[in-house]
Amino acid sequence: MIDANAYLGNWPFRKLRYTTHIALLDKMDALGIEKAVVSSLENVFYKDQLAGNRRLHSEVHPHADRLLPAFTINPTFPGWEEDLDVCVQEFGMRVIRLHPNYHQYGLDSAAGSAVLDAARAHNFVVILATGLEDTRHHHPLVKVPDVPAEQVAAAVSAYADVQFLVAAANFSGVSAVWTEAAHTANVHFEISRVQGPVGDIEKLCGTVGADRVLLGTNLPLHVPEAATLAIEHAKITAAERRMIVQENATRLFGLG
Amino acid sequence: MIIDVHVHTRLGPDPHGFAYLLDQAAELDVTLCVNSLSPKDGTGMPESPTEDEIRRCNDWTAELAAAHPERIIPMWYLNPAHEDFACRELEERLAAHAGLQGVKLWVAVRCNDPRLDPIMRLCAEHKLPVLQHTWFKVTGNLPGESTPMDLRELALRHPDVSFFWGHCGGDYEYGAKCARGLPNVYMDLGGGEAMNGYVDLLVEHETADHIVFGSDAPGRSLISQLAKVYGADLSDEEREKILHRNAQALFDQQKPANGAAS
Repeated sequence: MIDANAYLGNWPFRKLRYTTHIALLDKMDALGIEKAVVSSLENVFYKDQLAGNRRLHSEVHPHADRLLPAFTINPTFPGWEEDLDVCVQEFGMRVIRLHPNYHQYGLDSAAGSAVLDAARAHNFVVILATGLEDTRHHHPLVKVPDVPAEQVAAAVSAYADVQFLVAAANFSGVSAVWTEAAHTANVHFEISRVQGPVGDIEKLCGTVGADRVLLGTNLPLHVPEAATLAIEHAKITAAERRMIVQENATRLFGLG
Repeated sequence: MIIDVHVHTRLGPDPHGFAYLLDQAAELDVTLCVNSLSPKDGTGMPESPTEDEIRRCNDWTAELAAAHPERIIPMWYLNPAHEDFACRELEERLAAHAGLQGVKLWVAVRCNDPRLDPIMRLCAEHKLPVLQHTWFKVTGNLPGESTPMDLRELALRHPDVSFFWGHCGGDYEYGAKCARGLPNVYMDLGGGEAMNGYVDLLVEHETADHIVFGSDAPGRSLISQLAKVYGADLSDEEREKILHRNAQALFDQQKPANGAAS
């Protein structure tokens, strides 16, 4: 199995398990997850993304056979283009993660266009984190709505030559992006925050198609079994299951 | 065996969700404690239903319980704002249903309201567990939506009633603290996302003796909510208590009174 959406690092609002690369690898072993695409959780709140990206690289690089880094870029922070170059030249960056809501820019803004233009120029896979956890649970000082589905739909349509993974959208969010996007050949979804309604995975396979659905855990924010058990118990074919847990991620991220 | 204390007939627009849920419950050996917040004809889910709407909601629950007695325990939905009618409705359901049963309260009235007291006295008399919805939303509660702090008041006022603490308070960190030290409350895991550390935190504060499994299906998938339990660091005994033994012990209290209960 491949986990298409995970993080390393601490979260300011509550105690979490599996925050280090050692604990993450142990949990992956326990669940039969061979590889994971990981980003810095601390970069959600760090102003200087390069600091979080450097730490991510140092933790992930010795485990390059199992952990693929997705470096986070905030296009509203000064010098982000140079920092992106460091990630490319020093860390071998192939995947970019964006947090438009936590980093406070619209995907349709100048900053959003600039970073998506850069992703296109570098042929990055874009992980678009639409949220992180249930907005009803947020800290009262840090209430961050999910990225609006219409913005996501417009971005994936405008950048039809860029491959997107829409991360941590719930079922209605996935459905809205899929319905509203004018171009969908380049968009994929991971399931970490779908978690319903009953029959959710079967419904996604029926609408967006099993070739667009990827296993994702959103570790360490969520219990990874919510994703792995959802796939295990879904009434889908063996071929669909293989696509979701491995083949789609292998193709999207170029994992050998 | 699993007992799911928090199941709806329908939550959201999908009319086929409950049929899917019944099939999955049979596969996984799950007993479903079912309440209906909307009438069978799909005429919405009013926050404060009328007497007629309450009757029709419970008619649907009764119909399902009669059709699947081996799988469904009905949880009668009441609106405390109806006062006398709420008690009459419950008494009529008790007279008509011989098996295990309980009560569901949602968002019509905040649960520290004294209008709940006559209902609670009936629940104590008949050993009916009460599933009380609670949520502490940083985005704002509905006017009649109970917080964990409200339920703590109610549970202290009615120590002879057993409560399923709906959604663990929604924000389980608030719920876990509010429920501490209350012997008559059982944290219902149903609803919300399967957050890392959710059940572990509850066990730390409440012990596994005061946690019950709930799903909030069909709006939530049964599997995602079971993952909260299977993803927690629990002993086999703790897992069994949460998944069925705690709820079973509460429903077992009804057996002498109802005779035919199974």
